[in-house]
Amino acid sequence: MMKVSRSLRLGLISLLGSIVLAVSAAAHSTKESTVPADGAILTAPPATVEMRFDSPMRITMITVTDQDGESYPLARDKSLAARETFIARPETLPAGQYRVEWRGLAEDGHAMQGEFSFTVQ
Amino acid sequence: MIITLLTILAKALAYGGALAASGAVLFWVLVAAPGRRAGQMRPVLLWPAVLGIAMTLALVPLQASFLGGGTWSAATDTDLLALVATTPLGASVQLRVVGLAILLLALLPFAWGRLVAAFGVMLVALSFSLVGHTLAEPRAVLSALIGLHVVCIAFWIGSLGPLYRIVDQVSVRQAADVVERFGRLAVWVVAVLIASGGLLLVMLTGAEAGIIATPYGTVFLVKLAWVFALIMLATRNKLVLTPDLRSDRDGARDALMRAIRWEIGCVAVIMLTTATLTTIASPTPDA
Repeated sequence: MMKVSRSLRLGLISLLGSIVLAVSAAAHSTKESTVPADGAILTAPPATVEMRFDSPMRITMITVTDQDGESYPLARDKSLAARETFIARPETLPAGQYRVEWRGLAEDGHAMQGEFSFTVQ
Repeated sequence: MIITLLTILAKALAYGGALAASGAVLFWVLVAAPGRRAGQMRPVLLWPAVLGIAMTLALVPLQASFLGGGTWSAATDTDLLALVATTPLGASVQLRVVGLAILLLALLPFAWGRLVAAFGVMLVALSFSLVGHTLAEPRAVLSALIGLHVVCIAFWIGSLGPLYRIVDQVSVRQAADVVERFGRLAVWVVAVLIASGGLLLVMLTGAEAGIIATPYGTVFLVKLAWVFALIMLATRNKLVLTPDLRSDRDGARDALMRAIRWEIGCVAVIMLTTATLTTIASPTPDA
């Protein structure tokens, strides 16, 4: 049985630290514009939630949750076709802070994720 | 998070298994003394190839799980599995599994077994160019560079297992012959490896200094540090330990085997770092 070298142990420790740092920082690494805009404060509930990408994206999951973690259903096209603009329609949202989280597959095969927030007054 | 970590681990094992198996074939074709039997390749080819196949296949449900929000049920969602299978990742998985299966033909006791296996190496190398940012333009150049880069990496790390066994099992004179032959070829392979890696980095990032501040840049620097350590170890092997082995100096065989174990440790970290890079981050700061 080959000994686990010290270099491997040291490397694993440094790598684990990097992974934790990078995973937490990479969540916003996708270029996008959204409706509502990230951080927007709305006086009325949004009729649609939209995301625009600079290249076609297959949205495989999208959720809307409020500040208490409660999820709100979204009506969306069930097709997983790649598109540059994705539109979903939430039910009427009461006043509160909302976070939209999504995951998708870029055309080059890269799995992507992102999130944005808005407030309804 | 757990799915992300599992994906990184599976990718690292898939990369390591595929490259070690491919490299073992290249080593046997290009370096090992003629007349060595195919059966002697079994430990350094069979298990890495099987591991590579299993972990490469595992990437499909892991990817489906990630796309479905990181749940276990998404890993068996037929729509998501079908989606992943029809994307570049699916094509890459299929090509790599076929390539690794063909590599196993090198275990057959026929001369053409190794030649067919060399074709498998090409398929495995090509599988790495089917996903990710290597699909950007100029695609043909990027694909060729990544293929070349992968073959060089495979040769280097896939040679470590066979070299370890040869140094351990044959006479000092025979071992020195093989290690010297490997060292002469490795100089050129490492030069091409560094040149192709540098070109890929410049083409994918545009050589922007800002890349260092991104998550990709952070992990990439970790990888670079371990690649540098690996090159230092390999240089010491060639310039100090191999001449010691040739002159049958006391403890030379053990010192070389210990150095190869360190190299294997470095390679394991580099595989994990590369898997992290391709899982969590993109080489462009905002895309």
